[in-house]
Amino acid sequence: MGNSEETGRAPGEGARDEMHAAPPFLTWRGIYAIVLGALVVQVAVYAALTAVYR
Amino acid sequence: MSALDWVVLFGTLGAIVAYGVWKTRHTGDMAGYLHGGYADRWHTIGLSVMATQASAITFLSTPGQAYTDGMRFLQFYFGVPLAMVALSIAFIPRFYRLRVFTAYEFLETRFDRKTRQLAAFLFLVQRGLSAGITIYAPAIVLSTVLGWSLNLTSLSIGALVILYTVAGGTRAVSQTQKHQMVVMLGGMAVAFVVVVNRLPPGLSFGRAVGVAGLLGKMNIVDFSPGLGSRYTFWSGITGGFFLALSYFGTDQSQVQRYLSGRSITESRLGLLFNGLLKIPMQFLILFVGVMVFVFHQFNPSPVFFNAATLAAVRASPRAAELGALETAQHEAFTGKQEAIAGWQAALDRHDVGAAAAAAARVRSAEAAAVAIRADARRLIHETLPRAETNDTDYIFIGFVMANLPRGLVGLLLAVILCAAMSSTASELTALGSTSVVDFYKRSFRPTAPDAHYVRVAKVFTGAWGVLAVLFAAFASMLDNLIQAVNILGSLFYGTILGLFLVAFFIKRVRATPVFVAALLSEALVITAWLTTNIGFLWFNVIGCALVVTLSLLLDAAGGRASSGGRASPTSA
Repeated sequence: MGNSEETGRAPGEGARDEMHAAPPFLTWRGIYAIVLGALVVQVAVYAALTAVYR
Repeated sequence: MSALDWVVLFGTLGAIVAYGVWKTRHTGDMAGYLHGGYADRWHTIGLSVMATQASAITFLSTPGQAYTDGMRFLQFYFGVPLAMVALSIAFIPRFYRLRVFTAYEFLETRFDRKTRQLAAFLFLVQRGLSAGITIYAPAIVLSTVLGWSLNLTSLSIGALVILYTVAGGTRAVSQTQKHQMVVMLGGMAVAFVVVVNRLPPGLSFGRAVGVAGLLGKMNIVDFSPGLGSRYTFWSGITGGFFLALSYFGTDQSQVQRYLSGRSITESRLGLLFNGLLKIPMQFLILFVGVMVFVFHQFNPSPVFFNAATLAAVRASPRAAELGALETAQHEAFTGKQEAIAGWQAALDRHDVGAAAAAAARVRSAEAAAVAIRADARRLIHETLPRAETNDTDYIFIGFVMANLPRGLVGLLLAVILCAAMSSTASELTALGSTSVVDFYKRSFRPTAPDAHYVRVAKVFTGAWGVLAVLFAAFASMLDNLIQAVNILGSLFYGTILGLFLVAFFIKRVRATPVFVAALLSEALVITAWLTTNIGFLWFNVIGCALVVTLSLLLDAAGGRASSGGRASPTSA
């Protein structure tokens, strides 16, 4: 199921290269840090709003 | 509704559907039909993932929930960014390595056919029921507000979705969702601007938020512990994380969205885009509800927001009791307005003591108003025992119909219908592809030309669509079931996620122990749901933990010897 005959996209060398492809900007770690950092900032802002408008 | 509203409504919906059908008119092979020819860019994937999760009820119920319960529902989404990062690291590479059509195919490469089909079956049951509710829930609200026939509304939503979903497959879904999502976000931004502009001229934005906070609506984050409370920071960050991990990682309606990416990079970026924008989007929707609440502190609100139900009580012998409640509601409103004016004046004078006293009067007046609304619900229940006494879904649409200018009413209705169509479309394509790939092709017709499977996928997708419309037509007879369907996801997702986590990370566990562990865990989760008052989000954690623990125990207790499973050549 889901093999090269069906998809025309074999998990060969090209696929392996693709698997480790760098993102078009920053690094994967940098992008993950942005997503998680945004979460931390949002929780902090929302906690502050909750405290201010209690 | 004005003629302009109808033009905006049908123009928006028609243009999006026509674009989707036209753009995908040459879809022929299985990869093209089920995964859009692997052509989607990250922004299309991100918007498509968001549109799949955002159903019409998101836009109808969520502002109403903020109106009655405040902003705390936002915490439900705190686990999403964490889950998106975890999926990008652990799930997507494994799915890509095998080029699977459905998430459940992976389970056969790691375990065996029965485990794969158990997960696929749980998905079909849960998602098949949900698809009917996804159509029914907005149809009942829209038909009530607009005076349309309920079944005709369900049929119209269902027919439009079936048309472009069956015709163009997953690419049609992605292409339409991209535009639907733009309409949804744009429409909610417009609604926000309108409601803020409708606030009294002397009331600053900060003071408006202050009124909301004074009345307990700015309860965004709650760090208090306790399993019984449904929405806290802790349940959001843990239960929400497991729910998001399971929903985005193992629910085919989402997996299909990001596996249609042009590359693994596009898929990852699409999911991370969702992780970045999901919480702000939900904040906007909830905050619109809070601003509608503030609007109604300065403009009278009905004692019950479903006007059709109120009209039925007015036509009953108990109309006088309703009239008395409406009079009491008006007095409470007037008293509250005076108290708010006093609170504002005290704040302007920087008189802390007077402000605190006025704040207490405002809260007291609000408590009286809440009690009157509760009395109205009791009266409705006694007068019309079959009537729905929860009017949360009618609050936002009621505001839209009564207060938005011509043209924008049509736009906001388009937002709600776009949301209904986008989530239903993803569900139908996922149900169709799982039926074909995990059951029909795997167990009944393993070798056939691609064109045959595409035809069968179209038949299954259409059949699931018809089933969803039929379920929507009969849903009004199944009041209690609807409540059950709403939490069905959390009852099943933990078990399915547990299967995938064992498959990914615990190499030594084989097929039969994990299969038995999944069955036992599902039984235990359902028993716990029936016999305890644990908040439903926690069942995602409990189900997942049970599958992992029990499969380890069963494997150690001798399951290994009797297992027919085989070690995975692909698990990392």
